[in-house]
Amino acid sequence: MRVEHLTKVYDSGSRSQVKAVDDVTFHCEPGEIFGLLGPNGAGKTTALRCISTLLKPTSGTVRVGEFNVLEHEKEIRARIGFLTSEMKLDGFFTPDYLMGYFGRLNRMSRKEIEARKEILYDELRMEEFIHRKIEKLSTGMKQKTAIAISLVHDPEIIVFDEPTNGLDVITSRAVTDFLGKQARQGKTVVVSTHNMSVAEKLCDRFGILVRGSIMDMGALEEVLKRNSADSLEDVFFGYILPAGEDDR
Amino acid sequence: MMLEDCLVVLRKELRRTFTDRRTLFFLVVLPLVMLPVIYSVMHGMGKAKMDKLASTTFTVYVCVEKEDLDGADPFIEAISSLNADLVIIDPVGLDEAVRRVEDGKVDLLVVLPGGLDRMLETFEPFDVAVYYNSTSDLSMYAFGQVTGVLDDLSGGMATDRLIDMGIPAEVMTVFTVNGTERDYDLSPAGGTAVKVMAMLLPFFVLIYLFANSMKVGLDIVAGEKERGTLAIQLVNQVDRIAIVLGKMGAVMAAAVAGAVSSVTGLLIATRYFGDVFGGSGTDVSKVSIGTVGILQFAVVVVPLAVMIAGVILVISTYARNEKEGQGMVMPVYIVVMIMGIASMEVGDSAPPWMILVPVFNSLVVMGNILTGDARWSDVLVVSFTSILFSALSVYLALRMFRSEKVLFRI
Ligand SMILES: Nc1ncnc2c1ncn2[C@@H]1O[C@H](COP(=O)(O)OP(=O)(O)OP(=O)(O)O)[C@@H](O)[C@H]1O
Ligand SMILES: [Mg+2]
Repeated sequence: MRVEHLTKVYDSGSRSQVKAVDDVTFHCEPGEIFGLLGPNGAGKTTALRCISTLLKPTSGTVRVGEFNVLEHEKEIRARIGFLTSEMKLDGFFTPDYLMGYFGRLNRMSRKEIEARKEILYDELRMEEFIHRKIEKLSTGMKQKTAIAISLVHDPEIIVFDEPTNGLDVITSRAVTDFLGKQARQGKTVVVSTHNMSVAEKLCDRFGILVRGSIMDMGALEEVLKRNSADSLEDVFFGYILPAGEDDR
Repeated sequence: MMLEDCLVVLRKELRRTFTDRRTLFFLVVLPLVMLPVIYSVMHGMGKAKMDKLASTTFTVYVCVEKEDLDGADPFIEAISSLNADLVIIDPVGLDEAVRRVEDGKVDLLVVLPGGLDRMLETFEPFDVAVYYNSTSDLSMYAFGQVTGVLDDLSGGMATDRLIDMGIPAEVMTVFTVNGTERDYDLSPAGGTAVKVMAMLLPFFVLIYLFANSMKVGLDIVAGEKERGTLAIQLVNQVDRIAIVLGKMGAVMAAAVAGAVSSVTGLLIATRYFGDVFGGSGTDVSKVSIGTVGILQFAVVVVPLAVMIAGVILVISTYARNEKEGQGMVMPVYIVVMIMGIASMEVGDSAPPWMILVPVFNSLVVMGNILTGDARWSDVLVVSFTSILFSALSVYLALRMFRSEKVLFRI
């Protein structure tokens, strides 16, 4: 998957325009986990929404194989599993029902859905709660459900917006382990996070996104070396604080 | 394919709406029982009041000259047969008695004219004055009771006179009007009750179409936006039109369910407690619009439900969250309610162009269907305008569903 010169400007009527993503370019190969690391308002969600066809890029594009978000929305949607941040699934339904529903929305047959359920329930250890109403589930169970739903159609590309936000260390670990396993199975994984330890542990490579622009990009050691810093946190603050206040 | 997708969405939304007990209660049970409960309370209160009045002893002053006491006897006897405390007073105390009726200390004042005895003997007509106080329920009730027995007394005395003169009593009655037990009301369906129904029923249909559309429709899009679940439903193989139509179908189903159960509730309420609105219970049982009427009703109500569901869906799609949606719906709701009240006011006398005003025209024609004088041409025009506006709102909702500016408005 390649993101090429992606720019997104929100045009909120008469008010000033917001350039949420500014000329962002990166790529992510099968088997790789790429992280978009940035503070609140950096443009992470916007970039991921462009990748998952929910928003049209103002300029630039996203390519998946021979497909292009500008022209092949359907084909790209079939290949992408998208998870929005802070999603609250309808508490009335059970995880099992929603799996079926989203499977149908992805035009899967009953048999395909059942087969896929079995795999995901097992990998995410969901068996014990799939028939319980979502309102009765813990935050961790809900997040697992959301993850399973977004991957029901077995997409090649996984695009998760802050997948570990608000989770305790145990569930957070379960999610990152799961994503690691997906990558090892050959999936292309793109996640956003503002959490540096997640970025350090989970991502093979990451881009530091600040005010819509990628400041630096690469594997952890590369980035640390390039910035002659000891930790990702130092690098991060280096980019966030305006130059004058930077007393490192 | 499109239809199949649409059904997938519709089935999920229907399940969400109609299998949740709490939602079901608000959508179906409440409109069904609300009117019967209100009516039965009103009916119960009305009946309790009548019972109370009937069992309360009222005070009647009868003003009569001392020398007329003999002639006053039958009057006093007649009034005494009622549940009344009767006090005979002399004309000297008349002013005081009037004041007491004014103050509500005495319920009724009957003044027999001076020279009563003589006038009775000479067959000279005279007038009996009955003073009452309309601010007091008991006084009004006593007035009705006392004038009733006095009328009977007058008739009875006249008959007695004729009999004394050797004339048979039958001569007194030249003819009666509607004097037998038969039902003389030949209106095609039940008289006043139908008129009341023709006014109320469309209004209730409208209220519940709107209330239920609002309840379901705001959650179904704005609510999903707020929870973040709308976005993930848009990243798949299904076209957005299927999602819009599926959701709209569920809103419409909720609207129609509410309309049906509120109509049922209204029928039950008027059947058993109809006297609340002046019609009698038996009258209402005759409200029957026949197969053609039911068909016409459906041809008007279903497109109306689609239109209202569509309008709510447009608002719901534009709103960022349910709360904002509620705020935006309120003005529309008020306009619609004003139309509802206006339609009750104008009734048949609506100017012809009003047949093109959506919502309003449906209400007027629904009323006409109930009174049995709706023309098919009107029914079809109304249905057509509703369908037109429905199509417009579906188009708008779809445009909005395809616009990232609307879906991700902040
Ligand atoms: N729908 C929208 N309309 C207008 N401006 C928007 C919209 N969504 C986001 N923005 C603006 O774009 C910028 C980037 O927002 P975005 O949500 O992409 O950031 P983020 O990195 O995901 O932040 P967070 O960590 O808070 O989720 C912000 O300045 C935000 O105010
Ligand atoms: Mg975000």
